[in-house]
Amino acid sequence: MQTVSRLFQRFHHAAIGVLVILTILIIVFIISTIKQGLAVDTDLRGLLPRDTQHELVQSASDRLLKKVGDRIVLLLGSTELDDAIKAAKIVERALAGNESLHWPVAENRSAQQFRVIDLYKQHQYHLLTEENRDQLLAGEEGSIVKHASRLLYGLESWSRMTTPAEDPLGLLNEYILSLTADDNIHSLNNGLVVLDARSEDGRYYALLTANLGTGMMDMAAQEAVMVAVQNASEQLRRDFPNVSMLKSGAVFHAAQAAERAKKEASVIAIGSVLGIVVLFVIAFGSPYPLLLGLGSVVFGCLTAVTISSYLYPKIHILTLVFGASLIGVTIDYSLHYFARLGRGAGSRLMTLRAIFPGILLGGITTVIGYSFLIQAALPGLVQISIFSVAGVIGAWLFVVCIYPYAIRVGRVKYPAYLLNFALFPANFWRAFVPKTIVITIIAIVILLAVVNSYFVKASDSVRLLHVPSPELILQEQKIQQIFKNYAPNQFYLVTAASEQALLEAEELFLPELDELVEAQVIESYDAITNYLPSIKRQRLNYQLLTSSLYGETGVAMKFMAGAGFNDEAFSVVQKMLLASQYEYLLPAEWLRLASDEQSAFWLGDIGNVYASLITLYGVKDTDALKHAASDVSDVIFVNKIDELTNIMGMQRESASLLLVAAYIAVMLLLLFYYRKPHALILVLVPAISTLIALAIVTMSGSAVTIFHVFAMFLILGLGMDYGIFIYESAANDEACLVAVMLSAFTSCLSFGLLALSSTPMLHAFGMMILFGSLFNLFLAPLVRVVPARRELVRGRDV
Amino acid sequence: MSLVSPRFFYVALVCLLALFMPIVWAQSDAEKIQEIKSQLKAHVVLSGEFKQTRRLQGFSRAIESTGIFTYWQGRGLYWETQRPFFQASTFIQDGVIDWRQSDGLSPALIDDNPVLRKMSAIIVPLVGGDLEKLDSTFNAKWAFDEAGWSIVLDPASFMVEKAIGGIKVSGGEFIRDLAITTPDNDDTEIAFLNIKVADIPDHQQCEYFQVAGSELCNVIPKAVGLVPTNK
Repeated sequence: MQTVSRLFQRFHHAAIGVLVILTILIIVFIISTIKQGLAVDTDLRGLLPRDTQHELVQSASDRLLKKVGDRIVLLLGSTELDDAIKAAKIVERALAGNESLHWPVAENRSAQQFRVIDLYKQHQYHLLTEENRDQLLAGEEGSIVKHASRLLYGLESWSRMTTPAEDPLGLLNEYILSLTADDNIHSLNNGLVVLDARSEDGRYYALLTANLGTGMMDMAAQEAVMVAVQNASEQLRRDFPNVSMLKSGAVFHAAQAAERAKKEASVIAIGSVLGIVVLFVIAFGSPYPLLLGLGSVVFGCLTAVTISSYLYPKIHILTLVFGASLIGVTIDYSLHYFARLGRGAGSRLMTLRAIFPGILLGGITTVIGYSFLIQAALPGLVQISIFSVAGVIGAWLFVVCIYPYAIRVGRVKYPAYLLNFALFPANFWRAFVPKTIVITIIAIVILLAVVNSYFVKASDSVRLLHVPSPELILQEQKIQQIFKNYAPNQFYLVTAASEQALLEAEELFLPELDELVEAQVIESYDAITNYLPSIKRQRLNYQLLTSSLYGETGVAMKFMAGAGFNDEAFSVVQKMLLASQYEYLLPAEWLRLASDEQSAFWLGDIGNVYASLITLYGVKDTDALKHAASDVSDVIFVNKIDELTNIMGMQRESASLLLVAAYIAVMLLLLFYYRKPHALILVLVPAISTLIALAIVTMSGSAVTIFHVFAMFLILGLGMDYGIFIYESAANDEACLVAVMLSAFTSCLSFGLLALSSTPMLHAFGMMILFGSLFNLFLAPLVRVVPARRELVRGRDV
Repeated sequence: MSLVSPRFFYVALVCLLALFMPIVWAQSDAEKIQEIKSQLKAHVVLSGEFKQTRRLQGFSRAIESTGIFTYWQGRGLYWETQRPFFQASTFIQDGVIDWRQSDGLSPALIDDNPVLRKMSAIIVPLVGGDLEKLDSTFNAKWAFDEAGWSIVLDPASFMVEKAIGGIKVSGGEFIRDLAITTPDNDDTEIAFLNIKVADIPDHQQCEYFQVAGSELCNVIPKAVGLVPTNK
C-alpha cells in the first residue's frame, strides 16, 4: 500500500511536469495565434486517399493538382454572341480590379498568344500539321501550293497569322490555325475565348479562367473570391439580365464546405457545452464542478489545437468539426472524479487515487481507439486522430493534476429521477439470472451476426468526404458538357525516361486514340505533342520540306516566282531554312511562353520519370480506354474515381481486420492488468454495442462505409471506459453509475449532433458512435452482474 | 449713341461664332455619320464587282485580282475571285465555305476555325457597310469631302492590331474603297464597282449561302449560322 502510494505520488508529479510543459506550449501557441490567426485549411483535396500502390499515378496527380488545382473557371452564356462577349469583358474588368485576386487581364492573354506565335515562327521549318505532313508524304505538293495561292488572293489572307514574306506557302499559318481549331471554340476576341454550346442549350459562352494561387485555400482569400464573384454576378444581373454565369473551381467547393463546417462545428460545440452545463447543474448543483469540468474540456481542446498546429501547418476544417465532438468525451474524467468526490469518502488526492486505475485504463483504451485512425491512408483522418488523442490526453492530465488541488466538494445528493435513470440498466440486468443473460447474449450475437452479414452492403464512394450542393454539381456538369464533355477524372498518363522519349511515346500512342475517336469510344482528345512535337517529328518535318517543297526540284521556287515574290524573298527563305536545320523547338522554351491551359498537360520530372497527360472528351467506354493502354508500356489509363473508390474499399477491408487486432490488443491489455480470463468480458460490452449499431445502420438501408468501421474503434474505446469504471467501483456504487450515465449522455449528445452533419463521413461517425454509446451504457452493468467482481480485481481492497 | 462700338460688336460676334461653330458642326457630323450608317445598313443585298490590289513585302510586283461579291445583310458575304484564277468562299457567322467549280458550284470545304470566324466578323460587316458591328473592334475617325466620306479605323484590341493594323474605308452611297495595312506593311486595296442593291437575293445568290430551295430564301430571316461544321 505504501509502495503504491509513493509510486502514485511520483507518477502524479511527473504528470504535473507534463502538464506544465503543455501549458507553456499552449500559452506560446495562443500568443502566436492572437498575432497571426489560426491557420485553417479548407482544401477538400487534402482529404482524398493517397494511392500508395501506384506511386507514379499519385505523383502525377499531385503535380497536376499543383498546376491546375487552383484554377477558377467562369462561363458567361447568352443566346446573343455580342452579349456574351460584352458581359465577359465587364466581369473580367471587375475581377481584374480586385487586388486580392490577381486576375490576368485580357491584353496579357493576347500578348501571350502572340509570343507563342513568334516562337513558332523561329522554328517554322520544323512544324507541320498532320494533314500537310500526309500530303507531303503522299507527294501531294500541289494541294499545298493551291492553298498557298488561295491565301494570297482570297479574303482568307486577313486571318493569316504569318505574312507571305515570312511564310510563303502558308504552312506555319496552317499549323498555328490548327492549334485553335477546336470544335467547341467559336471565336477568339482579344484573347477571350468564346465557346459554341448552341447544340447544348442554344448559347454562346465566353470563357474567363485564371489560376488564383495556393493562397486561395485560405479562408479570408476564399471570402474575397466569393465576394468578388458575387458582386460581378449582381452587376451582370443588372446590366445583362439575359446572360447567365456558370462557375467551377476548387475554391467554390472549399468555401461551401468551410461555411457548412463552421455552422456544424458551432452547433456541436454549443450543443455539447449546453448539455454539459445542464447535466452538471442537475447532478452536482454547485457551480465549481461545472467550472472545473469546462476547464478540463477547454484545456483538452487547447491541447488538441496546439499539438495539431505544431505538427501540421494548418488544421483542416473537418478536423475542427470532428474535434468539437471531443467535448462529450473529455468531460468523462471530470464526471467520474466529481461523482467520486461527492460521496464524501476521502481527500481529493485519495479520490483521485481511488478512480485512477479506472481513468488510466479508460484513457488508454480511448486513446487506442482514436489512434487506430492513424493507419488510414486518408490524410484527413490521420489529423483527426492526432487531434483527438492530444485532446483526450490534455483533458486527462488536467483532471489528474489540477483536480486534487481544486476546491472540495461537499457530499452530493442526486435527484431521484437521475438516480433511477442511472440505476435502470443495472437493475434491468440484475432481474435476470446470469445464466439466462449469457444465453440471451449469445443468441443476440448470433442473430446480429446473421442480420449484418445478410443485409450489409458497402459503399466506398469518394463523395463520403464531401457532397457539393446540387447547384454546384449542376454547374460542374453543365461546364463539362460545354467543354465537349471534358472528362476530368479519366486521362492517359504517359511516362518516359527523358523529355524527348516522352514526346515520342506520346506521338506513337496518338494513332490509337484516333482509332478510339473513330470507334466513338471518346469524342476527342488533347495532347501536348499537338503543340510541341518531338525532335524526331520535327526532323521528319524538316526533311520533308527540304526534300519536296524547298528542294532543288521542289515547287516552292516555282510558286514563289509565279506569285510575284522577288529573288531576295526566296534566298531569304533558303537561308532561314539552312540556318534553322538543327534549331529544334524544345520543351523548356515552349513551356516558358505557353498558356497555363496548354502547359498543364506537361507534368515534367515527377521523380524518376518524365510525364505528360492526354486529356479525354466525351468518354463512353472506360474498359476500351483501359484496353487501349494495356499493351503500351509507357502509357497508363487513369480513372481517378474508380481508383479512389478502390483505395477506400481496400482501406475499409484492412480497417476491419485492424479492428479485430484492436480488440485482441485490448484483451491482452486486460489480461495483463487483471491476470484473469474473466477480464475478457469487458470487451463484450463494446463488441455487442458495435454489432447492434451496425445492425441499425444496415437495417436502415444505409451502406457501410470506411467511416462506420473507423467509428467502431471509438465505440471500443468509449465502451471500455464505462465497463472499467463499473468494474473498479464498489458494489452498489451509485455515484459511479451516475457518472457513467452522464458520460454516456455527453458522448451521445456530442456524437448525436455530429450525426446531423451533412458531410457523409461525419454523419457516419456520429450515427455509429451515438448508437454504440447508448448500448455501451445499457450493457456496461453486465460486467458486474455476470461474474463476482472480487474474483477479478488484482488483489486490492477498495 | 450706343454703348458698344459696332467694331467691338462684330468682333465679339465672330468670336462667339468661332466658339460655338464646332459644336454646331459636331452635331452636324454626328448626324451625318448616323445618316451614312443608316443608309449603308438599309441595303439588304449588295452585289457587284471588286478589284483587289495587294502590295506585299518580298514581292516584286503587286498582286491583282478581280471578281464578284454578294453581301446579304445578317447572313454573310460571298466572295468570288475570277482572275487570275477561280476561287470562291462564303463567309458566315459560323465559318467559311470554300467552293469548288465543276459543273457549277459545290462546297469543297467548310472551315470553322475560330480565328477565321473572328476575321469573318470584321470582313463581312466592313464590305457590307454594317459599320455599327465594328464599333467595339475599331475606333473610327470620320472625314467628309465632296466625293463622299472616309473613315480611318484603328484597332481597339491588341489581337486585331497585331493581325490587321489599320483600315481606311471610303464611299458615298455604298462603300467604294477599302485599304488595309498590316503591321508588317503589307497593303491591300479593294475597289468596289457596279454595285447593285436588292431587297431579296436571287436563286443563284441563295445558293452561295446554301439556302437555295428553302422557304427562307423568300423571306429576310434573322441571321443564323446554317452551315454544318465539318465534325
